[in-house]
Amino acid sequence: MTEARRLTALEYQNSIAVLFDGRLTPSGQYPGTVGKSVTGFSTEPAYNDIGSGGAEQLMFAAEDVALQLPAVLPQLLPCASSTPGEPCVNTFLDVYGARAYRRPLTAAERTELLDEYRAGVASGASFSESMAMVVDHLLQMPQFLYLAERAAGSDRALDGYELASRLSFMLTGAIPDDALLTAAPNLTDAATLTAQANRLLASPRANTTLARFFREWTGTTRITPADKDQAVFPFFNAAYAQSLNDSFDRFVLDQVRNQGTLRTLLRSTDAFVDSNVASFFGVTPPAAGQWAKIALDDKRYSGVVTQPAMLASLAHSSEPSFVFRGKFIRKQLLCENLGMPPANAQATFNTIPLPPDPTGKDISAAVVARSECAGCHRLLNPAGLALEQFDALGRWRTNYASGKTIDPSGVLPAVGSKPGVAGHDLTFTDQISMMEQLASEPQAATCLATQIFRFTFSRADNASDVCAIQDIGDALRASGGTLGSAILATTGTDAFTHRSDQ
Amino acid sequence: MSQRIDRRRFLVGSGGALLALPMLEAFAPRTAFAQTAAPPKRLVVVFHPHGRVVGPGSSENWSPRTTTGPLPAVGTAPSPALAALAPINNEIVTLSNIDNIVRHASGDIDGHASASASCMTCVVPAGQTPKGPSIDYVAGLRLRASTAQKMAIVIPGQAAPFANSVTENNVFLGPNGSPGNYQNIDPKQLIRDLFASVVVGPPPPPPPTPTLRDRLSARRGSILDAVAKGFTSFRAGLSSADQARLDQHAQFIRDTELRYQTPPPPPPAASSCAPPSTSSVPNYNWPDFRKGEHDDVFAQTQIESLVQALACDVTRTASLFFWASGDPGFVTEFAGTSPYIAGNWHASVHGDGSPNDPSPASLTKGFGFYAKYFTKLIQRLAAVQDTDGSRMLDNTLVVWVSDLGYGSGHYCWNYPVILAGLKSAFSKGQGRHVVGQVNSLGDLYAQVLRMLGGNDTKFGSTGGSAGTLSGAVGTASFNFYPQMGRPGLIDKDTPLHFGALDL
Repeated sequence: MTEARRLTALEYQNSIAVLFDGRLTPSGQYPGTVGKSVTGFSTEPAYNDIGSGGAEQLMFAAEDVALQLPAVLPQLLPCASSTPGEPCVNTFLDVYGARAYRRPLTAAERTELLDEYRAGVASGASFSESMAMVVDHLLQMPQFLYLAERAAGSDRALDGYELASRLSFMLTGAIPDDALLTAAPNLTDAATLTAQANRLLASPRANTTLARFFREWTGTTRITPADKDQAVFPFFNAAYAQSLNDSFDRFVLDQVRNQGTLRTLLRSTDAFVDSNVASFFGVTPPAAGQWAKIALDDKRYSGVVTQPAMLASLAHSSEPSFVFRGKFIRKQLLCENLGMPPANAQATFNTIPLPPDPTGKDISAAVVARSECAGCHRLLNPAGLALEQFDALGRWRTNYASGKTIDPSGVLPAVGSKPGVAGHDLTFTDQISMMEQLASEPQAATCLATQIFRFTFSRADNASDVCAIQDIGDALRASGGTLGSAILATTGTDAFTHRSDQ
Repeated sequence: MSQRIDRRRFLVGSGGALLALPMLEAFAPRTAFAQTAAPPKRLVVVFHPHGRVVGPGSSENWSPRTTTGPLPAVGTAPSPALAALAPINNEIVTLSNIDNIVRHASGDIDGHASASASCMTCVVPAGQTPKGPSIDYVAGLRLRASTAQKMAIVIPGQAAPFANSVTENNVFLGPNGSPGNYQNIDPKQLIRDLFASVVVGPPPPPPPTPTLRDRLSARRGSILDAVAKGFTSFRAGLSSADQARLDQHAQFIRDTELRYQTPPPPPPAASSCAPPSTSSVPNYNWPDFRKGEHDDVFAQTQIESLVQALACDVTRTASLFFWASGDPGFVTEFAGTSPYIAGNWHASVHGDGSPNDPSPASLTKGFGFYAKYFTKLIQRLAAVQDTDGSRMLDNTLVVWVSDLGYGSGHYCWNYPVILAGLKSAFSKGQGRHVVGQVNSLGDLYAQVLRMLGGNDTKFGSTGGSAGTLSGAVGTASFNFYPQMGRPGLIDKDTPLHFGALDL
């Protein structure tokens, strides 16, 4: 089942751009998210429910956009200059109304928006002002704000317009473009659907969505100077942060667009550098304003997990966090269900005695020694400790500030365990050997399919989704394991083309 | 005192085209200006002579009902005598079974004089001499904002001058029965007297052309309403879980919509203060007006002056006074062939002196004149926008009374009483006829004072410790009209107050 959900702020911005050909600026007043995402993906329906003030924010956001309309109306709607009147309004609705609603308008929907225009005219408003009222109205309607599909009962194939919306929001995070809308009636044909999926994935418009997938999967936020202790990282200004963020996006997009696989995602030594990032890695910078793809030291760096933006996101403001980093490995990369930490976890930690100048392993050992902490921390701490040679900003280091040497070796216990299955241990000497073993771990491949499922359907998986995830996993293997093919293959599964409400 | 009044237009006397409009419409400014101050409460008393024009032994032509209950729908005549009230049935409460008790202790138990002297005061007259202030004066003392405001003004409703000072001068009364604050009968002079201190400021500049932001803001309530309806229709085909999500969103829209509901448009022809112009009212030219030939124009002129005196806060208590001996012609009721031009209304009311009127049809038509202008007064009060944007009528209590119950025999039972305005003071609403369980005019006026904010339970004479007629000054008359079907009602043991009316 796919629940109705409101567009995220990013999808709203993208959709306004598509809707009005990039001529109108999205409002910053569009309401954001509420609560916490279960899967980490920002499109979860409950995460995007509006609060009590949300309706008013949506109203303000719609007005912000509508206010800009008169200035560009002649470009958007030539008849506004030559033959303003109801026929011209209908032309607007044929194009922009259908874009907003992702399908042709019904007669009732058309009448409702025409009535808004008529009310504007009756109040003495000009044609362009009355059209602004129509836009104001349009942008507050559920047909625009929500991705919602008709209830299906046990199972039904989605119609072409529903598939167009699913496809467009999955791959571009926006309403369908005109080419997709035109093709929509034929999208129930698998070849047409695949062709459109390929077109969209290849489009630059897919970049933000693809980057979002990797960011939300890995917990990589858009780091800012406010995230870090300026006393420790005085050089870390906004431009520097922007460079690290862009470097991450360029890395993951390169993986998707250049036949990257799960293995290369986890083992690649590629990095994208501008002058800031080059300084960060201590390499020769490219020309000013340019980016270059370089290979980093394969004894230190391994794929996405050693990208500075990710390491900096999974860290505190001045110190790294082996808990955050280990949690990513176990929960997001291996899809193990660790549950939520107890409410008093931090308070309990504060009572644990630690030796002077403790290393990460000292702290981990003290925590795991507590029975109430050991259940989860014995699983996730070793993976995080393997990445301890990267500081809170992701810079390489070999010693703690105390001078003590960092030991990245360890054992990742009970990988692949589940009820009735003990799992196996992964023994590693450092982060490189750990990532090498994880890149070959079948559970990691299954987890990638699961994450693509969660990303595509905006929800956590459950027991009934095993077959759908299996389909995605099969597609991933059939495609040679490339990330792009895996994402595309998802669109051909029954889970994508059908809907069930049971 | 100088009162500076801001207003948008001043149509009165602004041109021939406007003067071609019906009089009250021509008086009416067409636009309102935003005001937010809480409006004061006000009182208007309308007085006509001779009570009900048909005796109780004849067919009833005044009371809309014989029991308490709703009046007919707007547009339907509530009764033959009150047919002209049909447009405002929902704005009024008609009352039956209200008696003038104290008049019977006056020693002057027939004729008009003691009835006039007591019907507004409820203080036992000394013979024909009034001894207390009338209800408008008592209320006026309480309602006025300062001593600078005019006190309880009485505006003549008809053009013919007083012919019998014993009756006319004894209706509206000040302290100890002194003459009330009667205004000049010349409508031009009345306007000069009332509005001399009102300074009208320059008209404000026209409102700026609304911007698109203004227009979008103005549409918020409507668009939210339409969007909420859109959610309702959109949810139809969705799963129950999806419906719940959209329903929650729609509820937030409804909650937001409440804050953006467009206020109802202001009443038409509304303005807070627009003093009439002397150039737009007729010259007072007695004897041309001697038989009421021009009472139609005259009454409208006077109503507008009264309404504007309230709107401009010249006073908070004003009365419209039609009196007994002026011999109104009622030409508007008889298409110019009124029998009362040549005849005599007063004599006709009394007919042969029996309880049954000899010519109810003509008298009912004449009575209709008062009902017609009462309706115009109510409609004009409703059309004027008060200081908070509400209708001035909703802050103004209007009380219509007479000197007698049944005029044909000078009977002081079952007065014709109608209330209107100040809607919030009517806990059971308006558009009703209320049959009292026998109440006195003292009960009525005490309740009027309560409706205006007081806590009065009695008004006028209280009858000593027993509260009965025998305790009041003067000589009580017992069973004076046993033939009226209410023998023994008024005697020495009759209380002067009976309690609250069912309003």
